[in-house]
Amino acid sequence: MKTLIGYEKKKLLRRKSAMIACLLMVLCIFAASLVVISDQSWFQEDCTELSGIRAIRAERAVTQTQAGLLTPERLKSTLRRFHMVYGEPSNYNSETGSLQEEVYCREISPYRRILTLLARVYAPSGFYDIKVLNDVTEEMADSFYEIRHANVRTLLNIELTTGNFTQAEKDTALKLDQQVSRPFYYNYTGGWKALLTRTFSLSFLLITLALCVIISPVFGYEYQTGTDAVVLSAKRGRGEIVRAKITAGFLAASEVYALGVCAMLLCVLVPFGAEGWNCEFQLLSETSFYSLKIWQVALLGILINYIVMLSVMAFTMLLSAVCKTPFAAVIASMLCTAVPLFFPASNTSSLLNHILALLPAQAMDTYTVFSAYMFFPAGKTVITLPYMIPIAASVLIMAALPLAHRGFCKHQVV
Amino acid sequence: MELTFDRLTKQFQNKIAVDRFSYTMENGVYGLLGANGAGKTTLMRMLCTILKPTSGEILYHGANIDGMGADYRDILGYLPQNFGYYPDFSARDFILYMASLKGIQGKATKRRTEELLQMTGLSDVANQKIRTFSGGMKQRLGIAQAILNDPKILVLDEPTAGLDPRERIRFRNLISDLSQDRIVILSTHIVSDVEYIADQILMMKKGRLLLDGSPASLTANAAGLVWTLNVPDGEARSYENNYCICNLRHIGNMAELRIVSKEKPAPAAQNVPANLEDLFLYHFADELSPKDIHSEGGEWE
Repeated sequence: MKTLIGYEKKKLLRRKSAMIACLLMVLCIFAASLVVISDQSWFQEDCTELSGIRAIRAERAVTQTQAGLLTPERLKSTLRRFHMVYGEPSNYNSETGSLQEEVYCREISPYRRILTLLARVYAPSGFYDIKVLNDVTEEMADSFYEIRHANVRTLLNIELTTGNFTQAEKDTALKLDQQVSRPFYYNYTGGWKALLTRTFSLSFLLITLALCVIISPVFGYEYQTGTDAVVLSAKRGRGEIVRAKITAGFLAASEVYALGVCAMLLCVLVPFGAEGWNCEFQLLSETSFYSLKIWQVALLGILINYIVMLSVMAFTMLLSAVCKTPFAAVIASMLCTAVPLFFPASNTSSLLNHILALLPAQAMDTYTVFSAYMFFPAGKTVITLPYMIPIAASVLIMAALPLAHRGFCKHQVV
Repeated sequence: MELTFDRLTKQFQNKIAVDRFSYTMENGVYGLLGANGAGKTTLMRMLCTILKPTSGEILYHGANIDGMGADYRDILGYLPQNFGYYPDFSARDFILYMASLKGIQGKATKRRTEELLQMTGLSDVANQKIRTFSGGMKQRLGIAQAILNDPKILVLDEPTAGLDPRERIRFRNLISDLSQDRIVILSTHIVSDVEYIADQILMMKKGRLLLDGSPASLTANAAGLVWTLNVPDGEARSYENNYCICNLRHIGNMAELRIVSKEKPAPAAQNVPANLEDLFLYHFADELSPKDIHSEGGEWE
């Protein structure tokens, strides 16, 4: 069996199209991270705007000096600084009436991450102007974490056109939210933010699409090359070979996946740095109700996306077994993977939104998965989206593989 | 060893590729002759379990081969008509892969692989990628994989396609050597490939078994049907229009015709012994209907 698996893997990975797909995948991940890096900007105290790597370095240096727990006292002092700056008339431009640029750059900009977090918590839902902090008193900082929890409750009670959350769903989310550790640990999280909000879903989509190209010939290559006749008429041509092909397919996919993940992590975390790994995920998504550190979300994202990727591969193998050519299989699997990305969320159908959330295009968006309020009823319990995705993916794997096995074994050489 | 085809039929939509084919084979070499589209390949694919019959069955020692599964495939060696290969594999890798696929394990794998590479003259190019091979080399590789597991039933579909004359002779000798204690089924539309090595000839036409027998008995039955005739070059065309011409050779201003016909084509025509090729052309020349033979020369039934 080992020999067969080895040869099957060789068949998959030695093809030119496989090598080109791998290369393109890495190049695209690299290009995507370059875009993210070039998008970074930072204002120095003298209001000089830095961009790219220089902006990242400057922001890291400033933010690292602020690392520590976001205790109420710390929040209070930040608010006090904000009120002092915004309360001083001489800080305003007499002509425009807005805060002077150099004052903003010197006094506000270095603290903008904490201030933005405060604004998001204290602002009415969907309104994130930092100026709302003018109405937030220092005493209110004492109840920062309670207000954040109340915001979660508000979101759960919101009237939705697709149907409101059930009591069980609300209870589940609130119970989870109570477990979120506090006070939050604050540090520079630019690398993780870039990773989770900008690079993650695109990279995993690229990895999966590349893998569709690599894995689609797993059975179809036999039809394409005409070796199906000798393979199917051989002693182990309908039992072990199918298991070997599936195993080789998953092994090859895992190797390429690991390569893609390493490329993604290196391309983002090397220039940005990995600081902030032990901060709460709520620093990036303040209304998320999962009690997880940023590194845990990233790791879970990698694991969940791995299972999703395997399910796409199982589906690709099924298509490979039943389609006449690998080309048909790769087109079909790539379309099924990427097209749902362009489906907008429905305003009327909750079911459609739930289905879309489980499809690879959305399921691989880890930031949204751990931020979204989406639940799946299972009898008396409620399953949250990060749990439901691997369950659905596993079901797909278990359904697709026997069908692929059957499709290949029943293949008729005409 | 006994292999029985029992009213085996394969229908593709409106076309019947194999039509109630019944025959029993024992050890020996069987040459399956027929024009393109006669149903030879379809028959062989059903024998190799890669195509399901529409009706009928194939029995090996009385057991349906479909039910035997891996046990049946273990005794099977198959070279398909269009032998497929993995372009990026070397010849050695391909044979090793096929050995694994055929359940050959341990030290026997390498020993058998080297033995077959040697036998098929591919030892020197064993590490080269198959994509660099000539048609003949690929065909020899196909033959090597077919006999890898020392099969009891060896099915070779157009095995000499792409081989040069020297390789064809070498191949025929190889088949003769292999024919002991096994059934070798060899399909071709090149009569000389089977004329000297086949114990039995099966001629297929339009999916049906048209006739069968040893080469000698078949040609004996065709006695009196083959004529040679020397005519001026200008008259050759009129004979071509009216008779099945097996061979035409120009000698100076004359043409020597080899004609297959139930009637003497000309007073000067001389009756000569028939060979298998005459017989083949007689049955597969489009201008002649087999009904003519059945109605008068019923010996072909």
